[in-house]
Amino acid sequence: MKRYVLLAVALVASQLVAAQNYYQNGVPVTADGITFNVRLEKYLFYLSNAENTRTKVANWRYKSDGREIETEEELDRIVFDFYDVNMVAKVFKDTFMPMEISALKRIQLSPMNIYYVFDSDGNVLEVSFIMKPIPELLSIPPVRFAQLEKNLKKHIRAYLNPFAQQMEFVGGGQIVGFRFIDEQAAAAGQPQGPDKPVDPQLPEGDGRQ
Amino acid sequence: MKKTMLFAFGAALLCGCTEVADRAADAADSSCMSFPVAEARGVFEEALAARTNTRAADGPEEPGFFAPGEAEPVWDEAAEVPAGDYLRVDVPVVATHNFYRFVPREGTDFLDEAAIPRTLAVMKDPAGERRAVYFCLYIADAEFAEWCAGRPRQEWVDGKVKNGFTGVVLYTTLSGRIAAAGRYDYGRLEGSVFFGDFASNRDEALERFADLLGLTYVARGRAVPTTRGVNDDNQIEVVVILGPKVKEEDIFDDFDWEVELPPIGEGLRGGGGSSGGGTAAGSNGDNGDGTGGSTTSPCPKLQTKDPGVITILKELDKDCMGATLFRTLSPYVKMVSDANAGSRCRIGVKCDEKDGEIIHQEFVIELGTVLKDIAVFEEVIHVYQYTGRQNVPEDRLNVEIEAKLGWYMYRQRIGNVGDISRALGGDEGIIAFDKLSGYYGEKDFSSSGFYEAYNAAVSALRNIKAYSDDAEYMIDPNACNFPNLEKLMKDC
Repeated sequence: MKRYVLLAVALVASQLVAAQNYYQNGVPVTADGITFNVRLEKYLFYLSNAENTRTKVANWRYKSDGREIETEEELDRIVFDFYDVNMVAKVFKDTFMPMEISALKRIQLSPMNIYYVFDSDGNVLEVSFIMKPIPELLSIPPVRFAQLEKNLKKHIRAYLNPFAQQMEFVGGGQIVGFRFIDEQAAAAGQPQGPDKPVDPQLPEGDGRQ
Repeated sequence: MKKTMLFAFGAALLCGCTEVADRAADAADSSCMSFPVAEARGVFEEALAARTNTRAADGPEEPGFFAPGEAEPVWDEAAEVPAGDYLRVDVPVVATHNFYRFVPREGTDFLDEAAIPRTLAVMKDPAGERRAVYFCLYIADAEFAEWCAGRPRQEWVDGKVKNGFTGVVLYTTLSGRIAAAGRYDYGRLEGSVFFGDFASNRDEALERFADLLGLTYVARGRAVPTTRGVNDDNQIEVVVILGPKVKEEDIFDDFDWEVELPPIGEGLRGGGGSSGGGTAAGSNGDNGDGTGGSTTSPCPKLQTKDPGVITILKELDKDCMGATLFRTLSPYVKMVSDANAGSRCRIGVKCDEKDGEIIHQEFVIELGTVLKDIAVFEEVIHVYQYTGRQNVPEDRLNVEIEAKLGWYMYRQRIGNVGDISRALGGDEGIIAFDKLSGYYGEKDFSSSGFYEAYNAAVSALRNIKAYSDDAEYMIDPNACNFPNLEKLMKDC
């Protein structure tokens, strides 16, 4: 009897472990209305919304005629940046539970890369997540990534210079080091420096002027 | 007549030291002959006696502005130094009068002070027929002066070999009157002027001297242990402005003394303030807001006047790889910011070759207005990679991949959340470089997965217009490795 009990405990335990591995290479996962394509390789854990069509486009196009940028000079004239570089950390803290944040902060060497596609107004159109296949990240359920994507699309914005605004879209990325997340989240919403523009969509009186 | 000979000798010293290319030959020359310190000391003492006891018709030379007062050479620290066709011993000097130059502190009305190092230079020609004694004052340009402060002189100038020295070397007689001057730019003689009896046109010489020096504030102060009240002796004694405004016949007698200066040692350094927005880890490093600290590049080989770039360099200096890079960088690099260059970064290199061997390289990095730590870091890594390379490499894209992987892993270490757009070729580029960082971390370079990741990085970069020309950016399949990163990241 004792042996059966131990066996049952072992089965339950193995199911729990297995349940935490939500991802298999090439098998899409769906949560909260978003389906992610999954790539799982030796050094890659990649999630990308199945509806993304622009994250793979590295050479951007003019809105007016769809022509690709052709010269380095054109490329050099495209300038854009985040309105608030630290906002991503705040989004993480608003999306993940404190226990999950604590687990993420213990990750020392495997930050998460987030790739964004911005429209000409600086809104996020598409997001993809590029990570290392470490247990801490693989144990995050798809629903959390779905919420993260939604929140990123809601809160992350970029400013584009007039030339960049001529593009259909542009792409940019951020490397999020989890161990810095508290510090960065605390800095989110603070003035970004005298040369940095303030997001015109922010409500007035938010202290950032 | 004797004076003329000495001056002529001094002129030969200045005009002779022209090319870095001569350095190797200099070293060889000096290895054949030597100028013992004891002999140099004898020459100095003889010259000193002649100055103080002269009974020449024109009497003893009147002290000039740069007169050292009571001067005591530190013979224990004397050393023979390279001097081209001549033999030379340099000796540090302890004297009652010290000299300082003043550097406007950016964005304030304050002036920072920087000591002007001085040595005694005793020279002779190989035949021993001509001998000369001068005080050399090294008036570094503002930026270089800050960097020199507190560092051993041998780090930035060593006799004729001006290790990156940027500024004016003033040669004065033992009485402190200017005999000659040479302007150096990153160790290279850019121009010189000589004020000897045989100078063909004294007006021209004065004009040239003014051009060389620019407008420079120099003060004389006495060496005392503390700084006290304004009227005490330990204040800066007199101030002289050297430069284009000086039109008089004899610039050494008619300087403009009217400059108000803060006392030495009080509130002249530091400054800064807090870092404004963002966090240390997540601060943009790319906004150039001039956060805190001095305005000097943390790497003596990287010279820039752009405070935004200096801020970035200081951040890089805190990193294990950045610090190693700064410590081991051998060529001099000018970093120039171009307000019209958008997000562009370019790098240029000038090489001097001798017998097929590169003997001198100078790099110029041109940065656009969009200052990003990764752009600066990548270009400096390129300098490291290309140092000593003879030809346009056939592995140019390999070199790019190594440099980009270098800054990518730097960004992973420091947690900077600044944008890395375009630099890697979109989403696929980030995937490829992230995988490469994994392979690098595990030193897993032999698996097929590594080569797949490497090829993916190549493909992603080809999507960037700048790297799309595969004839210009060639890939060497045998160079899919990271030899420079291995060296630069040894402390990471």
